[in-house]
Amino acid sequence: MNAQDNKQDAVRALLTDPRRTTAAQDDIIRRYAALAALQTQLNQQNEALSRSFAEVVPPAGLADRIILRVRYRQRSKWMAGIAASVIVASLTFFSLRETAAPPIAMAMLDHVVEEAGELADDGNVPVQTVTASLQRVGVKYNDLGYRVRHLAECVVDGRIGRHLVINTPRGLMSFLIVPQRKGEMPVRLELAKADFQAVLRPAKGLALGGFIGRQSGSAGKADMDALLQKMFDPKAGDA
Amino acid sequence: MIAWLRPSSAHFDQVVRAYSSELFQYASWLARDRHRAEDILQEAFTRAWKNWNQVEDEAGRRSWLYTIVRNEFLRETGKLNTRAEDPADDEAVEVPDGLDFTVGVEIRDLLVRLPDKFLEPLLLQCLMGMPCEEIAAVMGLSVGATMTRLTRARLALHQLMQEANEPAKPALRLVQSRGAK
Repeated sequence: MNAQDNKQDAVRALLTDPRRTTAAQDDIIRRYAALAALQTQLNQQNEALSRSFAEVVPPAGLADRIILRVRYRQRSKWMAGIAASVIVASLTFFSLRETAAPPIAMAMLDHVVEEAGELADDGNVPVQTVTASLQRVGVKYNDLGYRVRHLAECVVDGRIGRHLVINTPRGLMSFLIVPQRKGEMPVRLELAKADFQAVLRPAKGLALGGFIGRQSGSAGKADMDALLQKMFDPKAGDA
Repeated sequence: MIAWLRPSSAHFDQVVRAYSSELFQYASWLARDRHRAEDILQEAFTRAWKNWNQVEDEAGRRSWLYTIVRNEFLRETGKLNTRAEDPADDEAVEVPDGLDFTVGVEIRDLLVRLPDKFLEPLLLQCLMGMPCEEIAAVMGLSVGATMTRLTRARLALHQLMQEANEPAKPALRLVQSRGAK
């Protein structure tokens, strides 16, 4: 192979990947100033490309949303299967008049039970932050002066809602606000699972939930219901 | 799913946290849309979870995830079953003399105009730091075809740089001068 061919090969190698040349190619590049200049230019262009590509900033909470959604989908298939079996068995053998809790309500309760660790979050979220965050899901936040220890976007049944943990006079309570489809959860519900009691109510395209664990407070369902209605006004948000 | 076939949740979480940001950037450039990118990523990780044990060597996990994201994008755009190879990948590339890659224009403006088949290998190489062999595996190409694709991508970028550096055409100048007053 002659010198011209070697030069051509080195140019091709640089155009393919200027950062990964072989020792033999490096040797040729060192011998020709034009090739060294080309390598420098291509490296600079690579850096400019990297900067431009990296301008895409991933959204906050992306990994959490992926993890929750994937996990919930798996569980929801099991739960849907179990729930279907239970409903069929119930209809067949007992002719029950009561219906199972809507999946959205169960998903909200599951979320709080599963994320019970968030009760340990001992932050102090500014009122303005809470107000702005809830406004994005269509809710006006009425500050009653209680410390908001935790506020997060959460994924419940594939929808993005808000999860708050608040120090109330009756204990540490979790609240969930999740969009609901028309008629999905048409009435107020009381549910319980593991250590948690819950009150859920429909409001203007949303499902609002108040939750309390036995260990974290003494609020009854009526207290939770009252707080839900006092603190969250679904008419006044902008969603 | 049988319990022993399920991935460990802790491992899955760890992998999602390690790679979701860079995969989001990749999906965003493929789809050229942030919102679609997140949807693609959600679907891709759902598939990844279901097929977690396909990866025997953990060193291959990252490339495997890129392939799944790419396939999800192709599925979404109805191109999953189209051939990855381009006949041009087998042709010798003519490299002109005196190439000048001095960056004198905004690269990001050029990337908008760069065809997808050239943008993707550059993205995988420059941002993700992948060698040709790994890019080839993600894109379903031979290593040779990938090298050709990268060479062509840089030449295409060079062409766009030259066009961007060219003075405005006379007709355009005339319109501008009329409008300027």
